[in-house]
Amino acid sequence: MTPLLGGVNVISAGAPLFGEALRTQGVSVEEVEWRPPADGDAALAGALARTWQTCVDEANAVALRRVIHAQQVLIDVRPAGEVIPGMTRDMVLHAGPPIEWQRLSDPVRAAAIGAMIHEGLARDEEEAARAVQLGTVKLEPCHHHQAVGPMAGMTTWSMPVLVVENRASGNQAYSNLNEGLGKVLRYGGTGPDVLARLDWMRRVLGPTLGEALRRMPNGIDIRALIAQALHMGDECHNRNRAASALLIKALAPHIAALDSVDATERQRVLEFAAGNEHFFLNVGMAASKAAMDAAHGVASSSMVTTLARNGTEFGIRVSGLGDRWFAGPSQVPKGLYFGGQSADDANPDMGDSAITETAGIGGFAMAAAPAIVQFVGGDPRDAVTYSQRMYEIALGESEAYTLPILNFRGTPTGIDIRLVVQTGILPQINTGIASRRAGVGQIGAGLVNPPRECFSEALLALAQALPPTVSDTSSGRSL
Amino acid sequence: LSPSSDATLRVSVRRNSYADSVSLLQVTSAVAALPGVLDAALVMATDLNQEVLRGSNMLPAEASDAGPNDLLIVVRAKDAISADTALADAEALLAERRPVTPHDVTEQPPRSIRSAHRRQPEANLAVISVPGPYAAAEARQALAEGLHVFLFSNNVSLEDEIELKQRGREKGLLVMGPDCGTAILNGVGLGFANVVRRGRVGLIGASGTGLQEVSILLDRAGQGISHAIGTGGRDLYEHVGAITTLQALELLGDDPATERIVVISKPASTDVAQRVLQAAAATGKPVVACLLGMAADAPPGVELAGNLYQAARLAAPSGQWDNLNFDNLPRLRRQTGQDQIRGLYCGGTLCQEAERAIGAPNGHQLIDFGDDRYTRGRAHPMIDPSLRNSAILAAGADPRVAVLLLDVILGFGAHSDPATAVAPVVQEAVARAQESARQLAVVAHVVGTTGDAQGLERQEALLRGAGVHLFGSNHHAAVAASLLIEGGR
Repeated sequence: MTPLLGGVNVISAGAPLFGEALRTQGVSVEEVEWRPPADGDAALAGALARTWQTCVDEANAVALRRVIHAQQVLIDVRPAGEVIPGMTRDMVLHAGPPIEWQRLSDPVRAAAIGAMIHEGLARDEEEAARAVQLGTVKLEPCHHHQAVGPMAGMTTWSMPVLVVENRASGNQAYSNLNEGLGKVLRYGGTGPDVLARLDWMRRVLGPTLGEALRRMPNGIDIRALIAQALHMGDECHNRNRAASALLIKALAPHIAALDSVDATERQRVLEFAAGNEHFFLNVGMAASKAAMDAAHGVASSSMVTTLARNGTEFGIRVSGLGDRWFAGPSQVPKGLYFGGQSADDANPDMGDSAITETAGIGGFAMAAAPAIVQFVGGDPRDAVTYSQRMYEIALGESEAYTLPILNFRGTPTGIDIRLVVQTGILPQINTGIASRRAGVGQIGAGLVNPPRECFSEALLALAQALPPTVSDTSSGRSL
Repeated sequence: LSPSSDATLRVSVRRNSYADSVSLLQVTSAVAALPGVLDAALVMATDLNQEVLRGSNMLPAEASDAGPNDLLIVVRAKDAISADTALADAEALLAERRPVTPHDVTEQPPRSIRSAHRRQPEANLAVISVPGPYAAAEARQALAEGLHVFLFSNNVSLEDEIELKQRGREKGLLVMGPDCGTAILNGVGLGFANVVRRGRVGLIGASGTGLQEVSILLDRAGQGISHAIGTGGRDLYEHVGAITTLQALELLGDDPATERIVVISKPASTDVAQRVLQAAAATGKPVVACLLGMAADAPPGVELAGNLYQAARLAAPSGQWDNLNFDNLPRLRRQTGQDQIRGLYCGGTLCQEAERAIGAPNGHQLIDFGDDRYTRGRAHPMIDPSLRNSAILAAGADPRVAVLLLDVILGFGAHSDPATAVAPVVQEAVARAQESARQLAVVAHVVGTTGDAQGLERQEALLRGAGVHLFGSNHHAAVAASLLIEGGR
């Protein structure tokens, strides 16, 4: 039996007078700032109670270990069709949970049309809509194919994708390449300049990056790169300046050495990379995906392995709940808008980029990136507070990613749906804000939370999926 | 560099284990300062770091296949024992949490038991007093965290109680409660508890006020307790099966500080009580069992006590026990039809003990204001006297009532000045009765010690000042109430 009579050291939840009485007796007491869980919803609180079980804790320990010990290495850039499992020529991958064509928001629908035009699957909007409705083109979530994509997330057969290998678990994850800011496909831009850039990325950028990476014997250690970037003021979701610079630093000598690529194009590749402060974003996303996929599918685990939005809905998936999505309406982020724009112009939140928060960076590592408040609002102390709050819903702390201002404490890692329902604290996501009009692009940046019901519903499902408890088996008795 | 030939070089390779260089440097300097250690290095096994180690003869062959994701702990010490100890210490230092928060960053309060436990990993006990509907969930969380549970909350279902206790037993954890009012562990009072002497008697009680009463009676007799373990009032119910009581018997049976044991319970399953008595006998220590309202056979080594006073006295025969007498009782002049004792209690077990002493019902009326139906949505009467105060006034106006019987409870968690809260109300009730030419006698017992913050002497003086007849135990107060009725005309 755990020692008890030798002396007590107390955690107190409830009436403060008991903790106070213990403190006057010289006992060490940690007081829980307790509030009714589940917003006072009795059924949900009951389900929550069921999930505090050893089997869940053990499953979570396994899942968390897989996240924390992931060893993500960027090894290649290849056309999606060559590497993404289940990818077909008539398939368009999009961000977020599955969604029907009719329910797509304007920028996402426009991006899907642009992607189909780029891929030669349609010539215009009308053909694109018909192709999807007839089923000749299939619309599927990136997440169903070990892939992620920011904002609209559109990925087609011939698009170059980053290949990140998780050497601890042996799985791979993929993401398309970042197009830069302004008028871009991921925000629903489909003009000639957008399509021309996509074409250049397919012809030149992708193959060049792929060739350079293949010449690096060990690829690029993304876990180490993220760890370093956090110490340089990035949180690797909404601020990627340091990480992008580090990535370019690692790539540049190898790109410069590629005799097979025309010198002007080599220069253009480097210029393109250097001109995009979010060049790293998609790499960090693929790395996060590689960690979370390794942790998915641990029976009974309550750890979130996916947070993703499609511009209409926000969906989550949970390690122990298989491929089920738990979705609710996507929110409009709160934040700062570029000149002349306001919340009225904003599309509901979109993109797979919240995979970074799922893996313990982004909003969870905001304390590493105090400068980000200039972009999303608030003051630097808020950045620290956001990270601190995320520890309340995290299963553990990263070993690789640390927060200097919190004395190098590991970032909060592995969201526990139980703790979200228990505390009412929702995951904090840093995000770009898209215009609700197709093709305008990013109009601001800010903070957003998933809808609460994603977690409530997932928790109810988990409670049902768990093996029966003692009280369930004894409930038939008359007491 | 030429290390002395008898120095020992040891390495431990932690595969795929990353730590930032700042933390590693801190641990390195701590390890280097350990006795017998000549040199230490904790580094990630990057090519560069390996080269540096090789240059200073600090790279044993076992580390040759380590890669940049592996953590090397290398120690050179004057002998093998120092080296191995240093390696183990290095591992422990790495596992140690970093100082939580720098001074200039505000700590955020923990929002769950789990989070609080992470901040205070040495914790071994969760004290839970949240509203009943949420209490089982919190207790489950605490058990999942490997914490013993003191569950003060009431209005927890019996099914939940069974499940919690079974789960606790599986994990070797004690679930004290639900509805556990009192415990004293190693001198620390939990919930409602009095400041009592340390001593050799261990108490186990399916009753908070029962534990309080026995502990203060022992204290007043110059005796003390080792521990008092509360179990929650339903522990001896058939389907609960005394899980906590049996665990507590085992604990106190093994506890060298405990020489004698007292087990207290309110009425419950006789079968279960019998099992408890067998387990009590099996401890090999003298046990006194006060199982109110239960007929049971005492196995050898177990003595049965009919009330709490007797239980305390049997457990400490060498104590200074006053011989109580009732000679100073007033002679009560009762009106026709004025023949009722009205017991208004804060303590459930005290109420039941009084019922047995008086032989209620017999037209008497005893109410336990600590019962679940009086505490939904309000604080326990030990904290909030208003409900009982109204009942005291009503008793003054009731022509049937001749004797008012009360308990006044001091100690941790209780009202800061209960006598001041109740004395004027008692006076008013007596005055009301007098208005109708009735004499109303008020009898009470104060559950408290001179160590309690409320001050036993002051509390008793206030009550006496209001005309209350005080007795040294609840049992005697109840007996006195009966005598008043019998003796009065």
